[in-house]
Amino acid sequence: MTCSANCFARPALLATVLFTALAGAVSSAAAQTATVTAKDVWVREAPAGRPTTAVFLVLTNSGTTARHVVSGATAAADTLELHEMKRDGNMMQMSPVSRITVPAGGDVTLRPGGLHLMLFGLRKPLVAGDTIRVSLTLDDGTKLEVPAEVRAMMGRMP
Amino acid sequence: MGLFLAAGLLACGEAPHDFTLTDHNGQRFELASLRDTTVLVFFGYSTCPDVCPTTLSKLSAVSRRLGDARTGLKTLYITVDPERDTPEVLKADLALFTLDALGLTGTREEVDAVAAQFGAEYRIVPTPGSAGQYSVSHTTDLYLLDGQGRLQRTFPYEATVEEIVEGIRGVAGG
Ligand SMILES: [Cu+2]
Repeated sequence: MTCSANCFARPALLATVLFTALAGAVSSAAAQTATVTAKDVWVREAPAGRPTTAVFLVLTNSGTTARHVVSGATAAADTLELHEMKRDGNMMQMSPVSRITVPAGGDVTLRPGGLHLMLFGLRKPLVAGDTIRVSLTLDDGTKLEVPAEVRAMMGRMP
Repeated sequence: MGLFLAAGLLACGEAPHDFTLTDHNGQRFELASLRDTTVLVFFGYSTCPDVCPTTLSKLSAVSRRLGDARTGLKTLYITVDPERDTPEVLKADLALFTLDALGLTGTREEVDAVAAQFGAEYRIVPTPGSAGQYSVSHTTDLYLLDGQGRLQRTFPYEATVEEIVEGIRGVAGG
């Protein structure tokens, strides 16, 4: 890494720490690590008896290096996996993916019908209006802690 | 270990469909009990995080749009994952929607026979290392049956609320 890149990184990191503290204080829907931020984070409601659901969000990378989400966790479920729903011929198929890339200077949207964070083994029903906390780990080891708002099934018309 | 099913789609307006499955209240259900009712049929499974909720949301909107005519419409949500989708699971899912729908399950053989009747396809895909153990790829068409159980229209997953409402009005005789 060059000196100028190093010098540039420091104030950015400091700003991130400040921003995170501030975001926590006002319990903003946004959260931030070194360069990757999350917004519009929501999770589909799950009635008693439904063991799975999915989290959707937009990840933005303000840095000059692509970052990858490599894993995640939440206290609301036993397991969080990175998944993708896609069309396979005339069928819709859901498959685990090893990572989700957030391009340098760009963003990636996790949405119904596409990429999502899949929750298995829900520990309690998720009721619309509630909030759960989700933690994502990036390939550089940083963690992104974000609140996800539980939204009604009906509240999401395509 | 994949299971793959395919069958020819019955031509529109031909022989009436019939089948027997178990509904989300644990009662045996016969399609023939819905004579004189327009019926929408789709296949899915409850673990699916969005195709099925999206379809159920869309059909709830269709129902609202139909107004009073909605009483002549019944939606059938047939699971292609009967091992996990017990009547209780289907019932809990459907409770989230304002829709006159029955969740239907059965033995694997029963479900296969109904899927084949409609030309619906699904494939169980093992997902080693995933807590889900397997996922189920499936076709997402929506089948519209008239009051005699005859297939009148097939809508793709992308069909809009308006298109489905129009199709139903056409079959129900306006
Ligand atoms: Cu998934």
